[in-house]
Amino acid sequence: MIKKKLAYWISGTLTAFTGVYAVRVLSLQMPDSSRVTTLLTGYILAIAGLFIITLGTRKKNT
Amino acid sequence: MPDINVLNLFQGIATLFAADTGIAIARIVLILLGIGLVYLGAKNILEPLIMIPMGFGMTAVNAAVLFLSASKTGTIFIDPMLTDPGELMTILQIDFLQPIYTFTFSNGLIACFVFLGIGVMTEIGYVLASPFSSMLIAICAELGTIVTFPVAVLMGLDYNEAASVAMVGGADGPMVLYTSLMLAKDLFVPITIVAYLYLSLTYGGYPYLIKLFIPKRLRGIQMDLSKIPTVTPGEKITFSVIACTVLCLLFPVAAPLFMSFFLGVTIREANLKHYITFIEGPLLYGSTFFLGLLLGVLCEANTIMNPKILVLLVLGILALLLSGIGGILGGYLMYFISKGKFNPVIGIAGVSCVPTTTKVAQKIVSEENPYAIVLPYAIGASISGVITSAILTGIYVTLIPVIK
Repeated sequence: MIKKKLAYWISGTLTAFTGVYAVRVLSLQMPDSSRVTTLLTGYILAIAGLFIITLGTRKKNT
Repeated sequence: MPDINVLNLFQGIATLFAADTGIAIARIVLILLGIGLVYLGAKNILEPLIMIPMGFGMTAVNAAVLFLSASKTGTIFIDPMLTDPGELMTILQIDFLQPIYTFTFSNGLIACFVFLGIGVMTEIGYVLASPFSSMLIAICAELGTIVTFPVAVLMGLDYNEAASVAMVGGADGPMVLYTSLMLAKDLFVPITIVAYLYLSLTYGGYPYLIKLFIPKRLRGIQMDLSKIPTVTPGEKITFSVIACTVLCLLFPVAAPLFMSFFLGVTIREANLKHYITFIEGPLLYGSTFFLGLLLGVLCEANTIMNPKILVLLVLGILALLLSGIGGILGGYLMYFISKGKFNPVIGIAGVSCVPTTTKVAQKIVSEENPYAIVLPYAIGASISGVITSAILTGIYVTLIPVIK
């Protein structure tokens, strides 16, 4: 169970920071046409990452 | 005997006659309004912690207008319109509330202090225990914050002003203050006043909204509390640090708010007793007191008289109303997703306004079913509401200057 919990925390954190990378770094290098899509994807990924972490806290330790 | 004008002995009255009729009437109305706010605060009809200092300040500042020179009137309370550093240095030594305004108010520090206090009082475990319902409800409860923005633009406000007044829908006073200071400094006084006036009415107004949209049999639904998992302090601290870092990276302009809130949460979970006592006592109450007093003092007729005030009054109530409806819709969504096991009244708690809406939700549910406890879920939704409001603040403060 602890491993499963850890998996949520690690995958959530990675997803969140991937979102941040998309917003703060990747979107700046994108052409105007795809910048907004990259920005939105990044924001959604970042928030989704935090949500995945919260799912990890729901698993009880055994 | 020298010719003495009696009115000049009482400059507060003399300045009434020297001013334009509109300003004179506004001063008298504001003096009466201030007295009314003190009364309603003392009677606990409005939030006394804000309304008593605010009403007192409003009354005093409008009564205390004097002749600063032969042709200029003003007060020795505060001058919020100063921009020249030289003049500011002079006024800092004359106007007795100017140091507090300049060093804590106009830079948003007081909003951060209040947020730190909210963080220390927040049990974030309830969000982590039921993240899906909490976040879904909180997102729905931002309906007013999102919809009011285009409505405000249609009503003639520019993007900055529209975003600031739309934040009233987030139902977080400090957030409205912060956004309007960042985006619409000229209108921050009336916007913040409107926000705090309406926020203090939510405790009385939202129960009617709930009863209007949720039938009696649904209001008494009992929630299963045995399913709430235990979240350890370590998990809460780790989540706070990661969430704060991610949100600060995404919205650096709103980072002071995020840092204050999550630092408060971390201090609580780390059980730093001396800090907790200091933050939730002197710091939070001191900040709330000065917030109320300064908002009142800023309501001087010359400062607050703005042709946009009526528009702001309409938009403020619209934002809070829509957010309340959005929250209830979120509650209904959860009710259908859980196949009738979720009490839709909890939806109102998504309109953060910590802790008022959680109290409203539990009060309404208890009226229908004294054995039904919804508080843990309501607190989760309410705290998620604070976080989503802060995210929307970040979005508005970051994107609006770019759109311009």
